[in-house]
Amino acid sequence: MKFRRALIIAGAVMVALVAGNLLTTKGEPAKFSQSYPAVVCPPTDPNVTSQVSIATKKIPFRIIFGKSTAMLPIGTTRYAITKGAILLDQGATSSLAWQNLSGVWAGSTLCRAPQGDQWFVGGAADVTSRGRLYVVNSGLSDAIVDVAVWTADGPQSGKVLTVRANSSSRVSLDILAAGASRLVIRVTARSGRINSFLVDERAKGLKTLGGDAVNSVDFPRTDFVIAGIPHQVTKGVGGPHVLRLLVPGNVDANIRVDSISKDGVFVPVGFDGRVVPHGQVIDLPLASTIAFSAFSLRIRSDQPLVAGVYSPLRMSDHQDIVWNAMSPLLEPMEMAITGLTPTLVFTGDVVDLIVSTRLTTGKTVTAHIFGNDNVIWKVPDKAQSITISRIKSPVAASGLITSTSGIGAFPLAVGSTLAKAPVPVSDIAVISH
Amino acid sequence: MADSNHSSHHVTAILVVHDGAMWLPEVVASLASQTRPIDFTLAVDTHSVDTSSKLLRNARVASLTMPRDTGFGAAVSAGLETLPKNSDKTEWIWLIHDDCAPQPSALVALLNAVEDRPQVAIAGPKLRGWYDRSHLLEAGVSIANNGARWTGLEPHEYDQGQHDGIREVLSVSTAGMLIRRDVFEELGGFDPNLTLFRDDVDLGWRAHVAGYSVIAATDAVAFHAEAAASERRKLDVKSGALRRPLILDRRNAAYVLLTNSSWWLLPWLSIQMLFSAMVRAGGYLLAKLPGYASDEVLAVALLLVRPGLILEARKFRKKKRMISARVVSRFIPPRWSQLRLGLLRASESIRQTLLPARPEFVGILNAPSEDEDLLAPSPSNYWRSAFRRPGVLGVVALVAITSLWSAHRYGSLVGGALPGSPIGASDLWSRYGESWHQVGMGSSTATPTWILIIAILSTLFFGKAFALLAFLFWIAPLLFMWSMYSLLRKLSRNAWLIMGASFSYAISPVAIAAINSGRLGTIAALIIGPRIAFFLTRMRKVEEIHWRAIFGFSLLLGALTAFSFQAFMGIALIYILGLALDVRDFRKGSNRSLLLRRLSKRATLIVTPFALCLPWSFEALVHPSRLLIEPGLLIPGGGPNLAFLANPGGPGSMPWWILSPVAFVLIISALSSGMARKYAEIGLTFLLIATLLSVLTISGHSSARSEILWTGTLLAYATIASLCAGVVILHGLRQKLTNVRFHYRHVLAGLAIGTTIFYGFSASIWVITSGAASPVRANHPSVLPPFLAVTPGVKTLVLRNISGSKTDTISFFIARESDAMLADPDVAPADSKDIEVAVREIVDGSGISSSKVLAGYGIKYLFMKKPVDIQLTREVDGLGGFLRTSSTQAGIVWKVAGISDRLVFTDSKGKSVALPTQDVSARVSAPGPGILSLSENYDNSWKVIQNGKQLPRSRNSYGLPQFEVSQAGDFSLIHDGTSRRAWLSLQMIIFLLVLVMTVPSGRRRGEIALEELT
Repeated sequence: MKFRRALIIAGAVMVALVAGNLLTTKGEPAKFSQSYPAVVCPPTDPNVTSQVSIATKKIPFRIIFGKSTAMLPIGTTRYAITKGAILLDQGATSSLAWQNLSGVWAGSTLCRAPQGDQWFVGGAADVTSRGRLYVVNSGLSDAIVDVAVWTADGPQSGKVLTVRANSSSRVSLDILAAGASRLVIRVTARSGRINSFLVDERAKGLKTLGGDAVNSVDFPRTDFVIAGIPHQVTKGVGGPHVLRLLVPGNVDANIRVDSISKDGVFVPVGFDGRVVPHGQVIDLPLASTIAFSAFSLRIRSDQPLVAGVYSPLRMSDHQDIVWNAMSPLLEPMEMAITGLTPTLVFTGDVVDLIVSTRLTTGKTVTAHIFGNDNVIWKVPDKAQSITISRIKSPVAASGLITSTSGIGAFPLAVGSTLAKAPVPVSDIAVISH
Repeated sequence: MADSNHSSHHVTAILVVHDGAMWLPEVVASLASQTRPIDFTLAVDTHSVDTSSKLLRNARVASLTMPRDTGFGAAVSAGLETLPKNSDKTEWIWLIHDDCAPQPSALVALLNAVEDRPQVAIAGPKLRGWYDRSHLLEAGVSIANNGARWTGLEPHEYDQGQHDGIREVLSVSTAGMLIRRDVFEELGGFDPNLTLFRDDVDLGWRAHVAGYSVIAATDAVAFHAEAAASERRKLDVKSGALRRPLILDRRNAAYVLLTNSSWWLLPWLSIQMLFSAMVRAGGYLLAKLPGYASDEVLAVALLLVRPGLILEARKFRKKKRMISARVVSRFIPPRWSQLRLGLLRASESIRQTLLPARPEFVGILNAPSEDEDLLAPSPSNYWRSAFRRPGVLGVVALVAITSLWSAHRYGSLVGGALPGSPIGASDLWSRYGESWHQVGMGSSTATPTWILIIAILSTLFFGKAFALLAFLFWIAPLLFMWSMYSLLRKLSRNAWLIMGASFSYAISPVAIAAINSGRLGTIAALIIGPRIAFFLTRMRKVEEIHWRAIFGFSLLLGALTAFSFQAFMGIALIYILGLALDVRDFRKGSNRSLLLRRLSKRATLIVTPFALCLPWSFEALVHPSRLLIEPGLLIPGGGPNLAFLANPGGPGSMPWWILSPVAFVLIISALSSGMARKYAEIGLTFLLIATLLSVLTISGHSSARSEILWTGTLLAYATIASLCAGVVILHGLRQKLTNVRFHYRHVLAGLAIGTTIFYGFSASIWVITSGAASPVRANHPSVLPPFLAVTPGVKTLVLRNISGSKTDTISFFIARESDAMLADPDVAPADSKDIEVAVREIVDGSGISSSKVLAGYGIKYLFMKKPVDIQLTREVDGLGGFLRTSSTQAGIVWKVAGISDRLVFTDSKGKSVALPTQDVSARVSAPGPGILSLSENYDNSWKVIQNGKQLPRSRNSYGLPQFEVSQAGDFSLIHDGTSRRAWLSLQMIIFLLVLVMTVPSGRRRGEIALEELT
């Protein structure tokens, strides 16, 4: 009898413990909402034509100007910016803005989600400079922005800008660092929904020297690629390209630069073990003898740095310049390129990926991009968007767009990454201790 | 020179007899044995139906027979009429009741007193009890302003001569009253409207205003049985309702006051009499004496409806009055004296209920000897021996531990499940009574009953709710120990054993976790639980339990249910098991009557606690999650494994490795036999149920977050059962084990004692070290910055980043003026879907229209408590509609754009203006036709009244109430609390009924032994 009782008790205890442990949950897991933040495309000066490639006509947008905050369908796949910057709620698709001053310069820049920190490597504030910095506040409250500037002489006293809600602010580069010919600019948002865009336009007296939209990078790195540097060979000599560097930290950097092209990978003379002093903007000329139209640089450093490559180019009747920014590692993406036929430059030890091109006719053309070091591929005509997929090894890439007004370069990167935000939970505990 | 034989006086005794055979022989004998003989004795028999007349005849007392309904005054007058006048001497009438026996020296003492006092017309003896002859009944009598008969004596006052002496009084009792015949006739005798009771006071009053004096001469002593007042004989003087002694007494008291007092005092006296009659009626109802209660009210009402009677009597008195009626004011007892005596009586009654006097059994063999006292050694080191007592040691140790454990809890407590305390008890009272709670978006949810209990207790703490809670959390371990000690005392007489078990209970895992995490429900269960456990042991034969005990237990369980439905359900489970056994018994024996008796009592035990908590309990049935959640904020429990170790887990609980012996003791006790097994079976059942329930996750109490269920109350029951089983087993175990050879029982006993001692030490050390840093702490800083609390009723959406072990989460809630207070989590509504979406879109950066939604809900500010997520602040900055107004150490505040007031008027052109409101209700004016929007949750009780008419009510686009204003003018916004008041009235009625059923029944005077009365 007692044995039976002991068995019953042991059984009940075991059942309770096993059931308890099998059925137990650690409370409800936190929920997250995922979304692609709306991107901002750059504003423009009145004499500059600016067009944004859009994936579909249904994408909601609004102009970042005035009081209206209603998002309306854009109604076109190639939108001409006239009043001010625009806010595009385009989801996962990246958009490209193409700017040109007819017969003078052209440039391209990515429309990007608001960023708290942006680095621009490029521009000048000397007598040739007509460059400007646009700071766009796509939010509906006033924003406060810090603009920090480095020159060849080191860091300059920065500026604090207040940008009113739903508006843009334009700052000439010569105000930021008068007389400086080498600039690196950092824009940090203290508050607000901020995007910055830099245009480097130059002229000498009445003679225009070209211009470009300088693409930004998010943060300094120690190992990166500047892909798709346009290379124009004149009388057997290419360039001259200039590599601009800034080590923002407190320690000088020791760098190595590899030139990567169809000719192979080599280190230009004097670029292996080169010491770059910190805090100063350094311009290093690159004399390249390669024969191909585009090459890339891979820079490795023991200190984080930012870099860009300046390339003066001779067009049919005028000069233009191109700034190539650091290219992030390529990830699967879709980019709207309506009206543009860029040449894509992929750089990596092994390039093996698929590019699908959706044409305005509705057809889709797929290309398998495969090769080593540097692979150049031109997008078919009448393309509306490209989709890059099945990237099998690390690759950096950028695009080059050529027009009669000039050449523009842009890093192949997503404009808006999937943002993961916790779903807030109603809980009265937040107002107790 | 005084004549020692008082030959100048002629005394005639008038003995009024009405069925007084029981006392008459002694009365007659006492009259006959007076040291100063009575000159003539006349008995007036009001047609007694017992042997009184025969006794009178045998005693050779001259008698006169009157009809049976003759009143005392009429009988005296009739007797007096038969007596010849004696003009040579001062003629005195000595009025004697048939239940009043004067001492032999009474008459001479009375005559001595009046001898040298010619102004004295009336004198009376000191009256003592008939049975307890040391019991002082009266030494003069007066009347209080509320009509109460006033003797100025304490209940059952022992006569030690403390009131002795001759002194002037308003009146003396007619039992033994010596009155000058001429004065008696001059005054017109007794008022014929006062057939019995209070005729003495009336006569004395009239004597005073006629210029005479009344004295009480305490050298004269008479013993009085008070047969009429104590309902020992039937009243035949009146018919109908007035045959009842109490109603006649009260009616006559009112009559005396209203006919003798000054005119200007009459309204005030009427009010006083009515009020005191109501109070006394309430008291009688409480004592389950409804007849007396109705007598109280009817007596005054009967008189007030016949003003002509009073007017006539006043006219008669006016003729006889020589001086102002105010001359008697010195005899009317002051109010403080009445109050003091009332309090004394109440405290005496309570003392007798709680601490009944125990008879001392002193036998012949152990009779106390004074010599023995001298021989006994005097305890010179008494204090040292006191510390060898287990009770003293236990209390001292626990006080020391608690003092260190509470190191962070000296002050206003908040933390864990405990929200902040309001400033005063009045806030809790109003929270309990209000029909609309301004919490979050507002709700009409019934306030839980525990708030009422806290409000009552806070009132006793001079209205300081925070002081009550701080005290409660400090003293809770001592209360746990005391409660457990009271229970275990009934199971064992081994003081060391029960004190050790009680100490273990006070620092049990569930007790520590409940205090550290602010669980009021579990604390209540730990205090009340042992009391309930004792009652439950008698539940098997519930039919033998008296109804009064059933209701008393229901009241106790109601108090526990108010704090924890989980606790109630645990007890209900035992009831259901008992019910199943009842049905089994019925099937075996088919005793239908027994089954019905059991069913009715079990049903009462289940229904009454539930009914006591109406309407809150009713709403909990509609929202079952409330049945499982404790009062306060929702915080997690520890899951099934900890629950099996009798540790509820969660913030503030002990780590698992401090193993308590609860589960171990329950298991080994369940294998034993006898009572310990029964306790263990119940405890093990609760332990396993708690283990299984700890699997559940639950949300509620204004938290959308799901948390592991806290099963503290069930574990409290398991702990109680474990300790009971342990004490039963260990009681006498030592002797049993020494008598048998070593076997497994020795091992088990050693293990049980070893683990208990290990637990006691480790738990004690833990609570004064790590455990002292409990979630419940004093003086937490406020979450909301003070400037957000400047305007009453302003809503602020508070966003807060909460760091988790794996990921951070963001929580939000709508605050109004202050942090969450007691009862707020229990009554706050769930947030609307609109607000949830708006906040989600703020956080993910897509909420372009969020500010508009928040403004629509009347939310004026968005407050992000630090530490803040920089990216999130940028999102808010960027969204628009939120204007950053401050950034401080507390956090960042944005003002929501647009009109975000509580009450907004929108005219026909769409122009909106905010209307000022400070409270739930408001009186404002509308400039013209339009829509009036109220940013509170929709409720049918919201009403806007303009010119006496209700404006049409509908829901706006957010589902909030709006009203159509058709014309300009003032209007009132109200939340109609009629239904809330009705529910509260019902709850109060149920409470009073249960209370009446619980308190001991009062006894009618007729049911009280004469020995007790006199």
